[in-house]
Amino acid sequence: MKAVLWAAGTILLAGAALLLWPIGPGPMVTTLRTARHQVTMTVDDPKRGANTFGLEIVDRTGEPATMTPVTIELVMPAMGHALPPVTAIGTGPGRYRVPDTDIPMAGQWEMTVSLAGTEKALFSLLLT
Amino acid sequence: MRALPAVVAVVFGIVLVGATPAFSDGATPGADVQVAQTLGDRDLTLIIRRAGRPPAPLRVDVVTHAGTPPGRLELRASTAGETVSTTKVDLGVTPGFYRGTLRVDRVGPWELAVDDGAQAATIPFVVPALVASPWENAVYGGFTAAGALLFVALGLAVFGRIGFALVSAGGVVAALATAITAGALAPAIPSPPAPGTHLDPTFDTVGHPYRRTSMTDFSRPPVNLTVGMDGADLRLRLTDGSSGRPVDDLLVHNDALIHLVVVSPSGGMRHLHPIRVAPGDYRARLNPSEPGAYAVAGELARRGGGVQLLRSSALVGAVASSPEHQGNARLEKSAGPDGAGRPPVELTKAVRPAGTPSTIMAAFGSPTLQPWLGMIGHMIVVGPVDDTQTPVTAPIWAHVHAMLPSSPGYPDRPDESVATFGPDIRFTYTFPSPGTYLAWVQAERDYSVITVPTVVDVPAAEGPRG
Repeated sequence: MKAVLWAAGTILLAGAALLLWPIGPGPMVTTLRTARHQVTMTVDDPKRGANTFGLEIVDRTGEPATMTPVTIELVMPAMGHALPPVTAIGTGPGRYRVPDTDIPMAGQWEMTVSLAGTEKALFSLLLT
Repeated sequence: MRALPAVVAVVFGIVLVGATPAFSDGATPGADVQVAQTLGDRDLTLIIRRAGRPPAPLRVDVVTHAGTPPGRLELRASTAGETVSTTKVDLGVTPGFYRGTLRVDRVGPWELAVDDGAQAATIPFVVPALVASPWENAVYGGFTAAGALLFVALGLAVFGRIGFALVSAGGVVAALATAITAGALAPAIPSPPAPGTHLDPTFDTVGHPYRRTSMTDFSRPPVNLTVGMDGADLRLRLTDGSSGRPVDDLLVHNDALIHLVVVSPSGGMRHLHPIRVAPGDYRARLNPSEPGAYAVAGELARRGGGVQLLRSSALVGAVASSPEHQGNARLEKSAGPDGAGRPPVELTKAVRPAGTPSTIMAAFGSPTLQPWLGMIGHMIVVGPVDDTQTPVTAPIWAHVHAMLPSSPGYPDRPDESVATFGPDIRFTYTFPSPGTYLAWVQAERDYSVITVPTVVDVPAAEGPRG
């Protein structure tokens, strides 16, 4: 009888685990091509509040491309909100970081990465 | 009797191995996208047929109309800034369907470029993911688990483990309850916001269509329109009314990104469908035939829904060619309806006082009309106009539709290859104020858009209203 209870308990636990297992969004990595470059944007768990973005820029041959300035412009198209552009900080060849950018509202945001004012890559972020 | 457990095991094995998992790929989701495009001197309809599970061929039909110059178009499918496939379509002299086949290799946001060598129209579209919904998975998973647990319970009972068999039987009941509940509730569960129509399409939103968001209102700010002339082309710039950024989220509504109606100073009407050359940057070949102020009105819908009417005007300087008066409402009484060689179109106007519905019936003679822009007919109404009020300043600007009859059993709307509609088209419109209105009735036959201009005099309502 004890074994039967154990079996029933195990099935119940397994069922609960299946239903309640946390499925959170992991780091988001997106790569886009512009006319002459390829931009990879990384953000850990995009959320409302402070977010840190990593950018990696390579040219069409795959070599890291360094340029100034690299800025990000955040816009929420559904509401028409636009945040002031932020200049990314260079952290290595072709690597940039935009630390602790406050995104005040959940929803879909549009992030334009402007490469030295000549090329633009448009990323989309879904903050739940 | 000893053989029984073996028999049970074999049957169980056959059921498990033989059962094919059910996926919802019997039908391809999404629908064909039909977009009218004024590409240079060509009036085209592009039909992007729904694609299967990528990698898959993408069929694109290019529909030409009477007067479309023959020539070669290049079609390109690209995603994330990378051109994935290219094909060429040779347009012949005969108006009709010309097909090109491209290839899509992943789900997500895509862009179709139609290049005539001088200009390239780019049309955004979505290749949807074929993903089973969570409730569908619950139904299939529940029934599969119930079946498996039933065999386990039988097996345990055969071996005399009645207690364990009862636990397993309890599992059968629980799994069945889950499956039946999910199945019964599924039709009532609202579908999640669709990438492309509600959300901006990204690889993430298209690939995970059942991810919920906290958003409930998807509407967007209004659009600002600036119009200018660029050679023979009208150049339209669309910017967001809140952020000032280019507007690049137009939905295909009534088979076009923008329905642009242009009325010339003498009252000639053109119904154009500007092409997207860059985000927020649209062009339409106008070939103006007379100088002066052209009234311009664009109908468009942004992602999230809601159609907007944007009115503006364009000033045209000296022009070389002489006026054509194509579709000229003011010349109707002297010149008669539309050009030669076509069957005459009879207009019957049942005009009621302002504020009550008036009906204008156009009799096209034979039931051979084709759907144009998803409708059997269109009527543009501009007015009231008088000696001081021109179409540029006219307070009323309307676009009346005559709907296609329903075709039961066919999920998609008929395209232009179906020429069985008409011959009589009725438009009902409530003229809001008395006065003289310019109106144009449009319908398609033999891949040629027929424009019938007319003038409607609307009397004032008698006595106090309400």
